[in-house]
Amino acid sequence: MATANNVGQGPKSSDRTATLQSGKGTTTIADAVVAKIAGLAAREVDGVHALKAAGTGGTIADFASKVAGGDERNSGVSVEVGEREAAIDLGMTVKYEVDIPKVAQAVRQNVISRVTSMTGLSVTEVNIRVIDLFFPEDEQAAADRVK
Amino acid sequence: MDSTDRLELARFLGDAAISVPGVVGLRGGRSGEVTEYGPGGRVSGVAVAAAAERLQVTVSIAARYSPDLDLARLAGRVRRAVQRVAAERVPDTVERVDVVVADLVT
Repeated sequence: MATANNVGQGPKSSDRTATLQSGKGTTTIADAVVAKIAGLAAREVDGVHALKAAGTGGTIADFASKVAGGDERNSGVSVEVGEREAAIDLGMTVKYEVDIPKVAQAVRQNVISRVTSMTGLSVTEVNIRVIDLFFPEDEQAAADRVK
Repeated sequence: MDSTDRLELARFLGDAAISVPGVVGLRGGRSGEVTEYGPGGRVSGVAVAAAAERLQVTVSIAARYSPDLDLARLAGRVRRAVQRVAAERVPDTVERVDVVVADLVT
């Protein structure tokens, strides 16, 4: 399978996987790239307000990533990528009035379709955690308070 | 091939990769894993290993996001562009060109 021909002095960092074989060398797609595609795909769906890591651990992870100069757009997305397959976990907040199962299903479909077409990986699972509701009035109220 | 030649070749190969539409830049990796060093300079995102007139090249790129992005196809174009330029510049056989898609830019 994919990495059999990996005899070159390619990068050996553990955060790259998804190695696709071709006759004259390998193609490797970094986990961060898969995560970014998944995050963009999720945000495209109407009803999704933001992606956010779940729980205290997630908050700490987001903070750590911010301090370390990580990409904020990957917050709330974690991926596990093998040679041919990817599993994706998403944490998100949704707008208050939406049908949550429908939004989640649309997110799942869009993530699978984008990741598959853009990376060639097959997506084995997309686990979605809806961690909060977003009320548009709240943001307005907050904006009014600080005028 | 000494380090000056290698650095010069890496510059040409890096330019070849960047010239492919959809590639926005080269990425040397967090700790400079894919970087060629030589007198008076370095090239990030390209590594050249040469032994017995055989070249193994690694290029690490940042791709531009678009709705019809196809990273395998983009990597193939990068590989061919790098192979072409290497064949023009040096007599060595290009054994393999490994392409790393390290970043995606929106």
